[in-house]
Amino acid sequence: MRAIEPRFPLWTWGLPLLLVVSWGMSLSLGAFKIPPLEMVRILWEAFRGQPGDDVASSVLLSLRLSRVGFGALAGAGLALGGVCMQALFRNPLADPGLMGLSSGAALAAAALTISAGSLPEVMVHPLAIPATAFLGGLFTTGLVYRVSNRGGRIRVESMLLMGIAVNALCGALIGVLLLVADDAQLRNITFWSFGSLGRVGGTAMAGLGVALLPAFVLVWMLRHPMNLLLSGEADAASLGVHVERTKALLVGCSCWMVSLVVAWSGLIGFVGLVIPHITRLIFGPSHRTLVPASLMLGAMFLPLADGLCRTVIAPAELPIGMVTALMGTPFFIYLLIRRGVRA
Amino acid sequence: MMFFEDVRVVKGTRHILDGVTLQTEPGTVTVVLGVNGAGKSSLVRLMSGEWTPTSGSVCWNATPIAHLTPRLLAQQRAIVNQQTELSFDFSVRDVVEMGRYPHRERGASLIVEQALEEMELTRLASMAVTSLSGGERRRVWLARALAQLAEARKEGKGLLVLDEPTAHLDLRHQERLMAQVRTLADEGVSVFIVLHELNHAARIADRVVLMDRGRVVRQGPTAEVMTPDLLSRVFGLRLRQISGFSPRWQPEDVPAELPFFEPESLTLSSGAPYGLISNP
Repeated sequence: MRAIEPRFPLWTWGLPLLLVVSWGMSLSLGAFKIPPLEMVRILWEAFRGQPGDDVASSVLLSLRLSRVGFGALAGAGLALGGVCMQALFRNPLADPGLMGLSSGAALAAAALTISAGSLPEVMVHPLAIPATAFLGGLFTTGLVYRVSNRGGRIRVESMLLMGIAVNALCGALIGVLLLVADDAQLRNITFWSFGSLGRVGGTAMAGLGVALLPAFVLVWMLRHPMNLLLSGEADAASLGVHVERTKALLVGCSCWMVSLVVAWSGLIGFVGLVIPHITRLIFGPSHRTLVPASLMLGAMFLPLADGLCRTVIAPAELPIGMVTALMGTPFFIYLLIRRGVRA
Repeated sequence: MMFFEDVRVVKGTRHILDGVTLQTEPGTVTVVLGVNGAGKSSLVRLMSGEWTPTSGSVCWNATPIAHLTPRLLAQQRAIVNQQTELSFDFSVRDVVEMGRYPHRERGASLIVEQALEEMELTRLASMAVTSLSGGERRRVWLARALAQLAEARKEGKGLLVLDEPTAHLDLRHQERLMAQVRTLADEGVSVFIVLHELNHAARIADRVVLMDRGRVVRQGPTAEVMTPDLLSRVFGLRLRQISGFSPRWQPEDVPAELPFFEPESLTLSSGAPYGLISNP
């Protein structure tokens, strides 16, 4: 028997403070270093409506601010996407990347990019790619869920195996698309499969923010049903949870958040696995704290990882998906081993 | 009062329930008996709203349960399922607090503490449920059901559904559970139990529903349904009545210390009217 350790209460100011500090660090990191005091000056001038015209000002205001903002939103979206998937599958190993959500979204987006030339005007609308990515993610997630859910019980093995199968299939199909792609398309697709925050601007950040905010609110509203769902569908139903509706909302929310991030920044894996897990270790498994804390940790982690990508081989950049995978894979293996030991 | 009228459930080509009519009555312990696959757990699934009948109706106080919101139903009907699959590190108290969800109440409360106390869990309240034994877990879920039904108990109504509640419980907690079930029924709660153990059924039940292959073979007062002939026929074993039926279970029957028993008293304990002779 094991007692639950007292958890950190969320209302400690630590997390929001760390969030601001991490954003500051990420803003100053990169090929062009901006010292903290300098950064405060530039931001203050911009706030007063008199932005400076030096290099540091233009790097910070026109490049880095939107990039860090986008990273924070994307990190929060991916982390909450993981939280939703783990509640839906009632398993801490569930992850949007491992379940095929991300690759389904990437495949759909890549297919639309390749066929853009032969499609009517409306299909190549800037919002068509996120929308297609969403449908692709929804399809693969639905497929994995249907196969691994038998009579209201999730079979973890089926879930992981099905995720592998879907990922392999999507990977192969993306490979086929690469064969028929021209040079520009090839760059696009390669960019998707590694993930990068390097191509986002202020518009993408604003768009992502507007699209993600309702999903964040919805996930927060589902915090209690998610807690109850963890002990099984029959159990949750007996306590008055609309099980089918909650499941549909969870699938919808996670697909929405992850697909949008994938459509704009490519495949960034393992954030949805690692962040909720670390949050659970610190704050406990209740979604009342898991949702806001994962959101903040995600918003903290991705801009920092991106800052690392910009610095390690500066002036060149590492793809961020590579960095998150490098950090996330050992963590996933550790979780698998620990689960084996417990079983 | 939960009322089943001519309920049929067909899954694929299998007739899981075939024309079942029964009801739970306030202040009464109804026990369902039958071999594996007789359709006992399907009744629980219908009561939870997890399944809907292919034909016929399942009503709660004259309203079809499909017309009730899950929350409204959950305020008056609690279910303890046979298996629980929680694999996250919630504490015992967290799980019992979940019983207050249908009442829009969050966090610790007197009701939660009372439920913990009733199931002798106060000492384990801050333990991780994932680290408990099967029997301890079972008690946590029972405590959650008690917290869920706190208001209904005060008003002398409500329905508690238990699927194999004595499985995994040690002898002392089996006895305690049976006494608690009797207390709840005396307060006016309807109790509906799926059981395998005939002797438990004979001691606790006011009414027995005997099921076989999706049909109700017979239902009525315990002594009328639990006859050696009928039970032998349904279970496919020769059974002999060892003693008469004991008077209704009273809470004071519960001994303060571990019950004393000799080896033969385990199978032929006083008040246990049935024993197994041999396979046919």
